[in-house]
Amino acid sequence: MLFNSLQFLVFFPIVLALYFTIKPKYRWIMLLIASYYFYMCWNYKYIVLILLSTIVDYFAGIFMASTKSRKKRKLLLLASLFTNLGLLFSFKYFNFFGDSLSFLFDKLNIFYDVPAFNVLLPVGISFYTFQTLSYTIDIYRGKKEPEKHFGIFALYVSFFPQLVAGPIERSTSLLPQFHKDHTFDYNRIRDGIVLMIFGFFKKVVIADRLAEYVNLVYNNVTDFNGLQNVIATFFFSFQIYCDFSGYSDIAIGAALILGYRLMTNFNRPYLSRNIREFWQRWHISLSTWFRDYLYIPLGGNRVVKWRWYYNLFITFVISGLWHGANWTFIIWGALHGFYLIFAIWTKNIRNKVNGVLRLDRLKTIHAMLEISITFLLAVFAWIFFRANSLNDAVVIIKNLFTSDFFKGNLNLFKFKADFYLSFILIGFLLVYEIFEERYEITHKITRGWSIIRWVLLTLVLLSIFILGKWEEADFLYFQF
Amino acid sequence: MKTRENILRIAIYVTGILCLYAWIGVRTLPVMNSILREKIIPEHWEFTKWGELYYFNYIKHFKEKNLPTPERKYRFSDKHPSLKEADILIFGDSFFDFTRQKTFPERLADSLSKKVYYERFFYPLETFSRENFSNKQPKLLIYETVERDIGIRFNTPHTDQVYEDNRSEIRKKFATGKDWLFYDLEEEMYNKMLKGSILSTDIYSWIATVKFDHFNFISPLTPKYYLEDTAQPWLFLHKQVNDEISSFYYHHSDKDIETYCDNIADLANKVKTNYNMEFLFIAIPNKYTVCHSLINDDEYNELLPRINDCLEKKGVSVVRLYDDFMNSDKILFYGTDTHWNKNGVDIALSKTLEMLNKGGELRN
Repeated sequence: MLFNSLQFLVFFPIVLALYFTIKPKYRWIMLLIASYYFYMCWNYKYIVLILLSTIVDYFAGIFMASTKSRKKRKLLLLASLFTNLGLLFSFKYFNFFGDSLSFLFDKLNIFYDVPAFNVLLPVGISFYTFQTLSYTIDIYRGKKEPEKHFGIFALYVSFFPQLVAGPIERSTSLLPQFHKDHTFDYNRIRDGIVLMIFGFFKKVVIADRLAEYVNLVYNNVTDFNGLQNVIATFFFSFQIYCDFSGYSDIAIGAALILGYRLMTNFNRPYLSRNIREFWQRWHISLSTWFRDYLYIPLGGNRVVKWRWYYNLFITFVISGLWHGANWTFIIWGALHGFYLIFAIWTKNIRNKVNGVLRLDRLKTIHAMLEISITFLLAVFAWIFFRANSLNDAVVIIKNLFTSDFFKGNLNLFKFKADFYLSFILIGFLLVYEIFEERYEITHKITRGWSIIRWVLLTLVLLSIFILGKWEEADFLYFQF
Repeated sequence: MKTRENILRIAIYVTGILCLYAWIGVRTLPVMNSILREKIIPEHWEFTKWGELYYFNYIKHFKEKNLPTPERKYRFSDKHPSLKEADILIFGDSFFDFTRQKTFPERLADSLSKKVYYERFFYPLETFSRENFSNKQPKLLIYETVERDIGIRFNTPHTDQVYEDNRSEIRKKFATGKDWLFYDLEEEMYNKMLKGSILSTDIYSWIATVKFDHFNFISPLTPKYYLEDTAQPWLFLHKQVNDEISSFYYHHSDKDIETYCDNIADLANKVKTNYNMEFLFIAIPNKYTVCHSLINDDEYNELLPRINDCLEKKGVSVVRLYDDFMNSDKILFYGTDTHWNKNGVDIALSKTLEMLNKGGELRN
């Protein structure tokens, strides 16, 4: 069930009405049934995988807490890791590694037929496996007591607002919330509804509009020239941002209406002044997951310099692989790892250049310059993220340096108005985010200025209805 | 604050109940119909106020005036014979079942004073097998298809294999329950409900019209249109103009054409050999093939002439409609419906009768 589907727009109010009718102590049952139904609408058979993860991690947690033996605790953690990562590997990466091995064998003239595993990738598997893994790792580390209530734990694994595309919640934050009674709070529900509306706006008005141009160019890279590729990549940068942050807003808003606070997943990433900051603002729930469960266990930055670089690089490569079983994602991750290492390596030089040019005196210009450079670096990396293959990514990059750069019609939309609307909407988004960054206008709009709030909400709703693309379009992050 | 909270609480409960009604409605036709402005009548999809393509976009300019009211279906009438009783059997699509005018099968029955059986199904051998039908008497089988479906219906040979459900009763019941709960067409039905319900249809139509008037947005289901005269608007179905096999623009290779024709000839041969029936093939030109000059002068992929030539070479009897349709000075299709009008049926009927007389199939 997609958030931008009529199915969800019917499903959610039913859940909401039932939720506020039922006694608080029984609400978890209703939410669990709703969450399983939500998932099973996509493919009812794959609920078995969620159940398997739930059962294994529930008992791993309980047994880990009941034993003091380090060896047994380690074994239980390994069982959880093996189950969750095993499922993830089998469904998501088996064929990728198989194909890569076949390619290697071909090059080495070794004749071996690597078997393939032809199944549908379970939606959201990367998200809920990471969420349950964080639970067992936290118990292993002694940071958290195990959840004794099986039903509540099952709900933690499958809570429908964030089941298929996050935010990847920590058990320390979400599990206690399922034990609390959530009263009917006007302000909270209103804030949730506003967040959901803005999420829908980002998804159906901006992201799905840009998708038409991006898909046309990226699915036929040889048919288009430099400037068309540049526009498509620029559009993709905002498509993926609006798509994923729109999804997160809807998820956070839906959970908030029910009384649960999920973590912020995006914090205006394109206003970052460097790549490090970009990763503190982009897909925060995933980057903090990798920080806490991979980067820091590897040693983080409290090691010798080469090892620090290695830790950074490997974390980003694995983060790339998490996004998809394709070399394009690995290169994307590696590129971000390289950006970070390069930034650390050149920090002193850059500080000297800034000093010579006296950029510290021109604060606004300096900030704009940094934001622009960071944005361009991120955009360049998106080429690999979106390209269907490494070859396509290379073609796109080559096209940037040909004499035909300006050739061809730039407006590739079916409805010509979409081209101009796309730029206007991106401009609107950026202006809004700049104001949000400086003046926190969303807070002011939702908490005060009631006339402006209603006018703005009406306008956003109208534009969702009039400008929204309501033909079925998946959220990009569902595939990860 | 308390008042606002109560209003919000009531709004949530009312919306929840409405949505529950919708959830049940998309799974239960009478419940669905209770809130639709125009009821859904199974098997009578054309019993609507406006042309079918209007209901894909709800833009008010495409409410075509003076559409004839649909009549009762021939295949449900007393005149319609059983498979065994019939002298002529017709298998075809919605064109032969479209009742804004008297249908082709009914008119053929009246013209020839013969019993004409019509089934809206594309695989006659399956029907014969399912019904355990056998025939010794010489009969005629007419196979009708609209141009856009030729490539779909004849990309593989027709067989008499019938799908048999060998599952146990419990598994069947479980599957029925599962299908009801996780209903495949749920989204499509919500869409229908949103567009057609008494609560939302006017708002939907207003929004669709605003989008069209100010941004030229139109549903991807009817991407091509002609709107010089609001009394006679024209809409074209996406399948006829996109890049699918059913499209005016799709390039069918010579090998493709050969495959379709081989499979049609194979069907004709099986019908003759196994059921002693003569076979007559009628392909109705797409509306866009005939009327695309309203919009552009794009080059036609020549599907129909190529198919007809190829079939004749293989000895299959064909009613050639393409030239007559192209040369006719009458309007042969409804502006906002994919289907032909009475003028189209007139041409097809006279050409068929001419063909039957020429070929001698009528002697029996």
